[in-house]
Amino acid sequence: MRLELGKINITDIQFAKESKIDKGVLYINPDDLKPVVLEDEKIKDVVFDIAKPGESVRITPVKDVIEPRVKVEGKGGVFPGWTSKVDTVGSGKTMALKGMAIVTAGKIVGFQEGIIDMCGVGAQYTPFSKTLNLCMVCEPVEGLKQHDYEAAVRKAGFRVAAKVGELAKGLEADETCVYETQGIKEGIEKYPDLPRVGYVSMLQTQGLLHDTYVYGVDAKKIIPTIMSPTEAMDGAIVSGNCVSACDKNPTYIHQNNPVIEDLFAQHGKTLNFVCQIITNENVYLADKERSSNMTAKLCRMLDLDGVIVTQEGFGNPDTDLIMNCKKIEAEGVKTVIVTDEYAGRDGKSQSLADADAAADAVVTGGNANEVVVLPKLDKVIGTLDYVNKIAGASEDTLRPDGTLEVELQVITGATNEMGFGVLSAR
Amino acid sequence: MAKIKVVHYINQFFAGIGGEEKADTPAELHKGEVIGPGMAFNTGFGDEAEIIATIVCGDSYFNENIDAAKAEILGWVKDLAPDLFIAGPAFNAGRYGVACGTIAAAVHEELGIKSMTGMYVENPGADMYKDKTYILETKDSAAGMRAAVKKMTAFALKYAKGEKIGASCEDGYMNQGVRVNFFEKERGSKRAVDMLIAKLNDKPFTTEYPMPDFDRVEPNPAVKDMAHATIALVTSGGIVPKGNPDHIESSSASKFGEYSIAGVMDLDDATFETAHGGYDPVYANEDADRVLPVDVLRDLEKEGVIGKLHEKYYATVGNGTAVASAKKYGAEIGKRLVADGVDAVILTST
Amino acid sequence: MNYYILTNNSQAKEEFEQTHNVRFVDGKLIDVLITARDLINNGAVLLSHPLYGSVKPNETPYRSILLREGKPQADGLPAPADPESVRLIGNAISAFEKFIDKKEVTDPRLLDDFQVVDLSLLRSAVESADL
Repeated sequence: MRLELGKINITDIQFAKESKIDKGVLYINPDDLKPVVLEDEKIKDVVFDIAKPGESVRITPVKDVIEPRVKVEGKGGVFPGWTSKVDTVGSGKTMALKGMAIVTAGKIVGFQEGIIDMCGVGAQYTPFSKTLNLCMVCEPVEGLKQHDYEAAVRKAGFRVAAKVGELAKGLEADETCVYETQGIKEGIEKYPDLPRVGYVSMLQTQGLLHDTYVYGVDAKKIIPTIMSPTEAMDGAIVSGNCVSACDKNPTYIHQNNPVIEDLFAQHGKTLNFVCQIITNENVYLADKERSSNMTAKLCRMLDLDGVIVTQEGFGNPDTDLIMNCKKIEAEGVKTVIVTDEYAGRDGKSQSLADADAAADAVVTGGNANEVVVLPKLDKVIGTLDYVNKIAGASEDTLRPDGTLEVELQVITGATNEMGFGVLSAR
Repeated sequence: MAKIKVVHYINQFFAGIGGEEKADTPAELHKGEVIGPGMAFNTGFGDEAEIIATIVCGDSYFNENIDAAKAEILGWVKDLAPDLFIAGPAFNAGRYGVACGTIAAAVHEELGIKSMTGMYVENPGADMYKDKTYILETKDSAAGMRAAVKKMTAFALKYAKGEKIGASCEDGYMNQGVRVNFFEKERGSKRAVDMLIAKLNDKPFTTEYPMPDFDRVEPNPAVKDMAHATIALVTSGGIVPKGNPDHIESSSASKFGEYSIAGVMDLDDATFETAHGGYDPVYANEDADRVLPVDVLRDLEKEGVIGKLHEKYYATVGNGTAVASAKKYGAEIGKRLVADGVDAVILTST
Repeated sequence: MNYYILTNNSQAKEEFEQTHNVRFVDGKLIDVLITARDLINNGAVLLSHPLYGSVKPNETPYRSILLREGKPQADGLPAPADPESVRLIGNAISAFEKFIDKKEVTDPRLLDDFQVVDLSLLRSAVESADL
C-alpha cells in the first residue's frame, strides 16, 4: 500500500471570523466548531482555547490529543468507523496539519490524569508542549454516566479534528512524504537480501477509560491481525484510553506512530518493513495467552526475521509484553521491546511487573515514578481541582506557592512506550 | 569561590615507593603533597580544585589490616575535612581496587564526604563497591592513565560542585543499580530500530534495561511414592545445635553446617538455636521447629506419609550471604544428600 | 465456567451476586491481593490479571479478581498451587509495595468513579470468562 502524506506546517493558531488556513496560520471561528461538538446531545457546552509553546499555560486533565488530517485522494476518510465509513484506509493521499494538535480536556472521572505544560520543566517531558494546541473543554449534560461521557468527549475530538482537517483541502503541501510497503511476494522479490521486519503494537484494551478502537471496533474483541502501517496514519487506530497519562498512546501518537516512521526510514535500506501487527492487552488471562499465541504465529507465518514490540500502560501489560516477547523469540524471530519503568521514587524497585530472560533487547522511556516540581503557571486550561487525586500526585502535590510536586506519570506522553520521546533511564 | 579541597588516596606503587616487595608499607599521610597521578589531577583541576593531602598505603598492608588501616585513614580524612575524596585509579590491580573501593565507600558512608574512585570494570573492587561510591570506568592498565584522569577530573568537578549527576551512561560511572532518568539523543523508536538492526546482524547492542537476573531452577518431577521416600531438611534460617559449634556467622556466612538429628523428635531451646542475625531470633530460639520443622516431619514419619526423615540436616545463614557462596554450599549439600540416598528435600528459609 | 469473583467493590458485588459466585472482601485493595495470594497458595487459579487497569494501585481503593478452584489431586490431597498464579500475584503485591502511600480516598464521587472503573474492568473479564 502506498500513502502520500502532505504536510502543512501550521505556525500559529488564531481565533477569527472565518475559519481557514492562510500562509501557515490556522484561523478558527469557534462558532464553526461548536455545532460539531454539540451535535451529540450528551454534551451541554464546549469551550475552545489556544495554548502555544512557551506560554505560561497548563492544560489538565488531558483526555486525548489528535492531529487534524483529511483524506484528499484514495479510499475512505480519516478516523474510519467514527467520522468516516469503514473503507480500508492507508492509500492515496492524506493532508496533515503539522505542528498543531486538538487537545480534549476536562474531568471525566475524579482521577482524570494528564498534564501538558507549555513552558518550564514539565514542557521538557511532554511532546505536546511543542505543538500549537487547540483545546476543547466539554461540559456534559446533568447526570451523564462516566461511560457515556467518555464516549461523547472521545468522539467529539475526532469530529473536531476531522472538521479542522478539512480546511487543508485544496491547499498545497509544504512537504510530502511517501510511505509504501509491498505485498509479501513482491517484498521478497524486491528486497531479497534484507531482513523482514514487523511491528507488533499492543493496544490498551481493558475497559472503561482503558480502551482502543480499530476501525470503530473495540480492540479487546479482536484477535491479533495485520495492518498496513499506513492505515494508522489515516486514524484507523484511535485512543479511548484516559489512564496512565505518561505511557498511554493518544490518538496523535497512533497517527504519528514513531516506530512506523523510523522503520519506514530504514525500509529498503537495512530492512524490509512488512507490516504492523496489532494485538491487545485484555484483563482475562486466557485472552492474554490467546493473543500472544496468535501474534507469535503471525510473526512466524509472515516469515519475519525481527519485530519491535511496543506496549501501552502500567502493570498487567508488562505480562502481555513479556508473553509476546518470549513466544515470538521462541519462533526464532528476534525482538526488541519498548517499555517504560516504575522503579519507585528512589529508582530502586523492580521496574517491570513481569520479566523474562528472552527480553534481552529493551528500550525504555524512563522511570515514571521520578519526581519533578512543576512551576506555578499563569493560566490553566481545564481545572486543577483534582490534581491531588491523580496517580503520581498526593495530598501535598499542590504546594502553598502554587508549584506542583508530582511524579512524571502525571505528564501526558512523558514516558511513552512507543518511543515517541527521548527520555530514557539507566 | 574557594578552591575545592581534595584528598587523594594511592597505593605504594603509584607513590613511587615500590612494587609488590613494598606492598606492606603502612598508611602514610602526606599533608600538602601531591604525588604520582595526583599531579595530573591537579593540572586537570586548574583553578577550581586542589589536592590538599595524599594518603599512601601499601596494598597488602591495607587488605591485611583492613580495620586498623581504615580507622586510621578515616581519622585523617575527618580532620582534613575535604570536599571530595578520590581514590586511585586502580585499573585492573585487584587488591588496589578493593582498597580504593573500601576506603572510598567508608569515607562516604561514615564521614558523609563525597567520594569516588576509578578502575577497570572487571576489577573485583568494582562489583563490590559500585553501589556504594562512584566508580569511574577506566582501561585495564596504567597505559589508560591520561584518559582515566581526564574522565575522573571532569566528574570530580561536577560532583564536588553539587551539580546534578546524570545517568551512569552519561557521566561514565558504573551503574549503581538505581534507575536514573536522562534525555537520550535519539528518540526511543529510533533506538529500538537501531537495536533491532544490530540484533538482526548479530552485532553487539546494549539493552537499556537488563532483565533482573533470575536463576530459575526447573523443579524436579513430583515424588511419586512419598510413603517410602527419605526426606531431608535444609535451611538458610541458621538453626544450629546450641552453642553454634561451627561458628556460622550471623551474616554473610562463610560456611554451612551438617548436623545430626538422629533420634531427635522435637527441637527445643535447650539443644537448638538460631545463628541468624537478620530476624528477631526470639521465636526461633524458643522453638527451633518453627524454622526447621523436625517435629511435624516426625509426625508424618509416624503416620507413614513419608518413609523417613534423613538423619542429618544442613544449615547456613542466608543473611547477606553472597549468591556465589550460597550456590557453592547448595551444590556441596546436594552432593552429600544424593550420596546418602535422600529422595527429596524441604528447604526452609526465614 | 465454575469461578468466583473476589472483590472489595460493593458495586461489583451488587451487579454480580445474583448471577455469579462473589466473595466479598471487606477491606482495602491490598487485602484483596493478600486474600487472593492465600487462596492461590491453597490451589486457587487466577483467571484475570491481578494488576488490571492502569489506575495505579495506590490510587484506586478497589480491586476485583477472577479465580477458580484448583482441581484436587486424585489421592484426595488439596490442589497444588498453580505456579503461574503464584508468580503473578507475587509480582502484583510487589508492584503495589513500590508506590508511595496516599491518603485514603473519602470523597464519595471519587469513590464512585473508582468503583465504576473497577466494575468496567471486571465486566470485561467476566464477559470473556462467560463465553
